Amino acid sequence: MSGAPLLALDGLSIAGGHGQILVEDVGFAINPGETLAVVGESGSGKTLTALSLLGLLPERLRVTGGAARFGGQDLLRLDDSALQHVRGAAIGMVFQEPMSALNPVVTIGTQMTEALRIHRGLGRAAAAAAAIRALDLVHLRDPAGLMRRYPHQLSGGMRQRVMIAGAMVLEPALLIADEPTTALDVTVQMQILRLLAEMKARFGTAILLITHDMGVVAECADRVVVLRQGRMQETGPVGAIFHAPRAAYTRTLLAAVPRPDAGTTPPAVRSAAAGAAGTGTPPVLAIERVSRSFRAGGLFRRKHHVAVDGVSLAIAAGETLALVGESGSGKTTLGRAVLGLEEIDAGRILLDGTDLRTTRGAARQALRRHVQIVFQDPYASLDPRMKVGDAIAEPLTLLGLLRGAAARARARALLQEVGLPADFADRYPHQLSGGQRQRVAIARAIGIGPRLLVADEPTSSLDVSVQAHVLDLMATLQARLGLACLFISHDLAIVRRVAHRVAVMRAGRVVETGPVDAVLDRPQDPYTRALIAAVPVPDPNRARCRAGGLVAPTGIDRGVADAAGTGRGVVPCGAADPAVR
Amino acid sequence: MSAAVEIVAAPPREAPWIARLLRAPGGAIGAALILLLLFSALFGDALVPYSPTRMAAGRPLLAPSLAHLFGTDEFGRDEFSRVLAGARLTLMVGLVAVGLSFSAGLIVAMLAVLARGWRGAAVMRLMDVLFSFTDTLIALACVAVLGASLQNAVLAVGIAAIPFYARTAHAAALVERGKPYCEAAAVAGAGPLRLALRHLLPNIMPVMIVVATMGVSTAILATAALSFLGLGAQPPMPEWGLMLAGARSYMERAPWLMLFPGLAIALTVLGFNLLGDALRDAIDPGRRGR
Repeated sequence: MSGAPLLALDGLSIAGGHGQILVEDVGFAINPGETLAVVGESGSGKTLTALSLLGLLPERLRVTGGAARFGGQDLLRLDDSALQHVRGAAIGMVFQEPMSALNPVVTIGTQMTEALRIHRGLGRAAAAAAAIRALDLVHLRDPAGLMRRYPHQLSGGMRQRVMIAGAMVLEPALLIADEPTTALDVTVQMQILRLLAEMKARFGTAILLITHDMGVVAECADRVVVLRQGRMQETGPVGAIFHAPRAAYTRTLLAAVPRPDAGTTPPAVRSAAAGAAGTGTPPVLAIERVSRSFRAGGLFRRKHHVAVDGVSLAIAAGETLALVGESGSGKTTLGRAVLGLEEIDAGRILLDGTDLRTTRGAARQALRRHVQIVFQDPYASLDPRMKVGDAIAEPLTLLGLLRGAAARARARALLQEVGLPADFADRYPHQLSGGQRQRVAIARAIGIGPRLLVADEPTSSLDVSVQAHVLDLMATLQARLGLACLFISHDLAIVRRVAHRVAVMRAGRVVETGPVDAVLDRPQDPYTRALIAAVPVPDPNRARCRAGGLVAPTGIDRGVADAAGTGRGVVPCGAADPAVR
Repeated sequence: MSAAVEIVAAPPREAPWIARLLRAPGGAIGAALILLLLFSALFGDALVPYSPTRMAAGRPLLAPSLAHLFGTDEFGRDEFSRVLAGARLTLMVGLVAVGLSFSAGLIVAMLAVLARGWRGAAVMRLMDVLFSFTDTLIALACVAVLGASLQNAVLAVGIAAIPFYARTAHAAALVERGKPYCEAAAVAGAGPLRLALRHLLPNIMPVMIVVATMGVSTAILATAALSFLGLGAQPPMPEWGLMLAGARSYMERAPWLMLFPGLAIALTVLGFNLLGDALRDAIDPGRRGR
């Protein structure tokens, strides 16, 4: 700790519209050139804390106490016009969703130069030159050409680079990054984290990193603040938080993080289905050379986008096959095809030896009985105007298995089976938490006794501690019911925890398939290797993105910074994001 | 199962929508105005000092006084009695016209969503074509064919508004149709009819109710306009639009004859609009602050 901190937050409290306390007595200090991670699950107040520093709290919320000293001013007491000078100029901000944080109808150039012209009073040409330099700084190819493009023409990773360039263009002393990589694929995430580290090293920018991901924390942070329900649980250097956590909640949080490296698979899960998996029994689901392409583009420039390209897979009863890949790899399209929600152009999908495509009407309806789905977003996959009990009973009555009171009774029994009280049947989905809703979705899916469950990123919208519960529930039910499961995920740590076998997809093809341990520990395909290397490891000693580790904290020249930006040869940075370099 | 940890933290029940509605100032004022209209419509008969069609209840074109609160018109009819009696007509007009266009529009939209493909598109393009004519023009055409009477005017206004409701419902239904819960229902074996009735309809209803509430005011205005043009209500009906038309000739000698029916229309329209606005804020979860 040298000299006065850059930002000293003390005793911050925030109250909601009805006087409920959302954040209570939160305080921390950020030194120049330091990364402070604020960690917490949803509802922990981590984002509210950041927003209050910028005077951007939602209308009904108020700061009820505390002070935030930054450059001789108290940020919490500045009026709007004074804050406007601080925002952008002295404190930059990078948001979670690069899609919605950029204005879709304005060119990158206009958005980049706007801040320069307001804060620095630069002319059009000078602002454009500065913006191009900033875009170059974040390693975007052809920055001058990029200035004329619109956000939708850029990939998610490129957009987040533009956001960082926009935040860095005024060389702020503090950069607030609110879940900057949550919406991105792992390989892109690693690049963005490295870029943030590089900016910090080059300009001495302090970073306030808000995240729920302990892996990201371990990779980047110097110090950590753990929040829970608006209260500070623990604060300390990253090493101490990970190796000697004092608060019980920190320990729970760390224990719940699935680690992608070996040795963490619960033996119960692994042995449960080992008997059924991989033996001579015929597969429940057989996918044979399935292809699906979409027509894209306008009337005159027809393009064929091949989403799934000749994929063959099989899943036995009681087995979980994880389908892994980044966005656009075709894993979701394949899952939807198995459910019959998507047509296929070529190949066959066999369920218990019967082709789904050739059966029609009643036979198809009967087959429906055997495939069910758990969706990614439990907030959208339950009808908001249908009571939970009715939603669970719906498949039962529709398939003519049970009706009336019998179906309702079964729904209540199913609720108990997934660990919820039976009287939840009379609630509406919005009265339930995310984890509870996902349990309801699971109850609904298993109610009719399916043979195959398609789970499309079933835990990616849940908090880590809830994730673990839901995964355990799925594993237990699967073992008991002998379900085959197609588990679609981008998260290798979760895959190691639940799956027996893995198929890695890239650009519509399966590049590698095999038992989980074999694929994750001894990957053969270079893409699989890149994917595994990019996963943040929740171990600060192995971190690759903290400036102090790789890059000298002072006296940065371009060469050193670029070495940090591109990694140590494990991740082919340019390969996954063509805009880079 | 170690689920106990998360069960504790169920979100609290929020205030019912009706409480949220009345807490908003716009909602309270709107509701008060609509209640006033409803009260006049229900009990106007018992309250009026004179029969609304009785000629020479006083001398013609009397200024407002205690005996004749709103004055008298050119035939000596009591203006207050007529405005009060008009409330029932106006309420009927609004509800019947909106009820017609609302239900027809909803059916058309649901059919279009169910049919999908080119049939659905054809239905909606037809609606677009109708939509491109102004409501008044369609209403005029209908009245021209059916003849001028209040019933026909209401029918015409109702028909003219069908495309509006169909398009709104169709757009809302398409949004809902793309959400995972609809796919989940399809995977559970729900056919298109069940999907439409059990899932889509309840989910677009909040939006549609709000739209319809505001639509009542549009329908009232449109019918009043038709009556004003002599194509709707016929004398001696105490219809506000018709009363305005009659009062036009005496604008300078008896301005109160225009003031009171005009004020009645304006307040009714304001009431439905305020109520619709507040209803949207109260029902739409997206606008609900947490």
